[in-house]
Amino acid sequence: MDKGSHARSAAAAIEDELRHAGFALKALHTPRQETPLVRILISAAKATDLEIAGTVASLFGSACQDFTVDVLVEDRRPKLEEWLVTDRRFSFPRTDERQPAEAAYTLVLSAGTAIGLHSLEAMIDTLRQTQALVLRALVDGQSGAMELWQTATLWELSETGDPEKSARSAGGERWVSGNALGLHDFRRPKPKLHLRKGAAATLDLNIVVRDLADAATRLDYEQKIRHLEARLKKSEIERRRLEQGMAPNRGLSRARAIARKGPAYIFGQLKSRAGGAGS
Amino acid sequence: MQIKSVVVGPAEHSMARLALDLGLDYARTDWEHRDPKTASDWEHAVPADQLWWDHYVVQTESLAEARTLLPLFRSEGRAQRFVLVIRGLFPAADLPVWTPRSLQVKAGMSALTVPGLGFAVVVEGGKWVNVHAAALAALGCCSPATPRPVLGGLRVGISDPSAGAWLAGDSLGSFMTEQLLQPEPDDIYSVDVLIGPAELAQQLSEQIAAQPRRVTPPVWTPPATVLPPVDTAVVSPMGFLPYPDKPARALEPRELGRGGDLSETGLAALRPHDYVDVDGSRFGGLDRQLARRLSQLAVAGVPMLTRALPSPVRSMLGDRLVDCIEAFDVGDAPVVRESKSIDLRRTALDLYSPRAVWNTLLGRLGKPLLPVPTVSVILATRRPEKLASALDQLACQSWEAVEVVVVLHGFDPDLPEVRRAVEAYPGELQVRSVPADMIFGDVLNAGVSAASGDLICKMDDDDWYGPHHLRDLVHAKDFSGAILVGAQVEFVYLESLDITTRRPPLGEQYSDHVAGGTMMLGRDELRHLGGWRPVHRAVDRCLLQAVQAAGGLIYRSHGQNYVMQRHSGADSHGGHTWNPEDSIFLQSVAEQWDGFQPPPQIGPASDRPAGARLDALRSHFARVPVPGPSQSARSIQSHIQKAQE
Repeated sequence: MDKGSHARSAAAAIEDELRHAGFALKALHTPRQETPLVRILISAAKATDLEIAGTVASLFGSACQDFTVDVLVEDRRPKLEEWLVTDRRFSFPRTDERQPAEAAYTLVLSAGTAIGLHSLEAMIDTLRQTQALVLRALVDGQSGAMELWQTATLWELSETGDPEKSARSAGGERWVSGNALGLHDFRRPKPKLHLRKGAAATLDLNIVVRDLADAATRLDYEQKIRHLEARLKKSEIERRRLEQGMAPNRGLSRARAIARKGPAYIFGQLKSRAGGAGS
Repeated sequence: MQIKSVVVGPAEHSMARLALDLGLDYARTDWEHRDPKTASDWEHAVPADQLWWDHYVVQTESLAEARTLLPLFRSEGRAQRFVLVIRGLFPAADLPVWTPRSLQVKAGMSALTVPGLGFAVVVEGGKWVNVHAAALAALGCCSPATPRPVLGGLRVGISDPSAGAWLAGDSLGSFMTEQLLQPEPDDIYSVDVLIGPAELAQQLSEQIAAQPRRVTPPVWTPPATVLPPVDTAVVSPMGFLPYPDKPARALEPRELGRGGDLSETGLAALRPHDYVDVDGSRFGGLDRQLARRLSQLAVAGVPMLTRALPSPVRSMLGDRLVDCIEAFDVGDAPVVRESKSIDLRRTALDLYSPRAVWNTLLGRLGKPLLPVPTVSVILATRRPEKLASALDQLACQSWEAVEVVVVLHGFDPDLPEVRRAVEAYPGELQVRSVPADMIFGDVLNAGVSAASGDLICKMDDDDWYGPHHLRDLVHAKDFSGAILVGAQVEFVYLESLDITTRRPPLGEQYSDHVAGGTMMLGRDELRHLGGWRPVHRAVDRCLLQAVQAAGGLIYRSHGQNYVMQRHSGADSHGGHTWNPEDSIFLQSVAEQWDGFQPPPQIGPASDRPAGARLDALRSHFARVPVPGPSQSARSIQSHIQKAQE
């Protein structure tokens, strides 16, 4: 067995163990390679410094930080260059310069486009799932469109001349809405989360901000809140039952009500009580 | 946070008490109270589309009060359950005459869905109820469409209950007892045509001799090679699934039963399968039953994979239908599978709808045919240059009884391009010119006032339509019983991106929305609804609202006859840019094609768009060389080939 295949089998074994432990890694979640995962080209020939900074700032907030960025400009941008001088991932080539493309994916964004926390992951997932050669997206407020290629694909298609033309003629271009990927103009609000009406009628999103400095809060804050909410809900139900002139559900009627809910509910309750007593 | 409930009505009536009476779970949710007289109760901090309720209970003292409350509910959002309680009202308790309609009101109040059993309707009014009228009323509770005579008023009698299929569920049909076959000397026959054995003709001819002035129905004996009509109220294209999720399923000989008839539950069970596999060699001795079943499956548009169909079956179905049945291929893409299904259902409806079958029979009997509806297409346009291509599409329509009313909005009919387009149109055409400042609703109404067709169809001048667009809508209007029929916007050509997208198709179904450029409804129905609303935009939405407010149904046919074009926007410098609203057409996409790719039902359009993507939306690498050198690229040729396949 050669060195490379040995490393691959070791990685597969570790990922299998993680999967068994309930921690499944996506295909794009791999240890850092020598080359970055994504090479991002920010098309910024006529953009203002603020628009470029808006895109760059959103990249800092991305969950995926395995990228290099070429800000494609026509003139020098001294303020921006000074701002980013310490971060070696950023460079400012001229729009017509040819830079080495050592990355698994190549992404083109127009300056002013902001990405969300998980946008890069969503783009790569979509490219994989749709089996497209290139993923394109429109972003409200932006005149250009986003494009994501597997760099190897881009390179190979470019051998025939125009990679876009080749991708289109092969039926390999997939357009999606930028909103769906969390992309937006940096001056506009982030895209809203839309739920289908059925789910929206029954679901509420509870966003709980926890104080991570407090270990106890970190451990049981959610449990406590849920417990309090459940008690409040129960007491309101009791109040409305009393308003109807019905006796509170206690004793035999309570037992009947529990029995009606079935064994899954009963075992769940017993389990939660046993767990609660232990904590 | 749990969703709340609402109770509307005077505060003196306790909701807790009412919930006990109605069996509602009062304790489950918190309740908000609304007083109809307090305006502030009806103001909300959020728009109506963000209001969601568990129960929405309305208590009133009278029907009159309930009707006055109706406008208040316009901004109240949505509820999981709506309950209206009108104290002291018992609407069907005191109706003077049991008409089918009043019985249906009564039956609707007692209709029950019994778990494990099905649907039960009890019609009981304390008065003697005509059994036929009660049955008709009860059947009316089983379908959203109002019951109507499917044979257009023709009264058909059968002398044998097994011939019931020839009536196709028509509410005027009769089983002819001996008593009905021998009416009193001064009475009339209750039917216009009789289906029965040849001896019956002999019996009636004797009666003709006795009563020469009385109109005697002709007797028709169905030959073994002729199939009865399909009851399209039960078996129709409604419910077709463009993206089925189950594999092919074989049709078994035991499923055909005695007559081969397909029930609505049998059809519903087939819908999730991509194909029904029919091996004709397994149906020995069941030729008629198999032909009957295939005719019904064809009307429903069920895709089939057939083998070895016996020649008597092929002969009964006819070459035209057999060709459509045999057109399916298991390797077809979903859009092609659906297109072939559309061809199949259209052909089958042309041959086996109740009206089609009976017009053939009436022709043989020398009787007047059931009328075929005429269609007036209203084409309002502001662009003289678009008229020729729009009329070209109309000239290709397969529905023959078509009249076109062109409304020129703000330009003169003497323009050369208008004159050329009008002269080139081969069919019936009227041209009206209205001033440019006339609002759009009135422009359409001007067209309708000039129209003479039974049905009005609105079409746009810049979209693409399939040649069977009108035919398919006329069929849908016929079998659905809806006031308004149309199509969903499924296929959209985005000019700025030069791509065609398909939004997820929902299949044929009753709906609350259809595309404005596809609406078809009766001319009289449109007049009763008040015509198009005289407003400058959203006239289509207003008409849909009017239909629903009138208690009418809207039916959405398939979407393959219509492609909407989204034009590029124009920027402040007069150049073209992408239309910001186009993002909507990328948000939920079932399929996507490069360039202008109309669905198979439209085929290659004569007036294709130019097909160039906006420069700003072209790839960065179409303008700038691809950076290199590349990493050790793995070969992707196979990927490209896969995509090409």
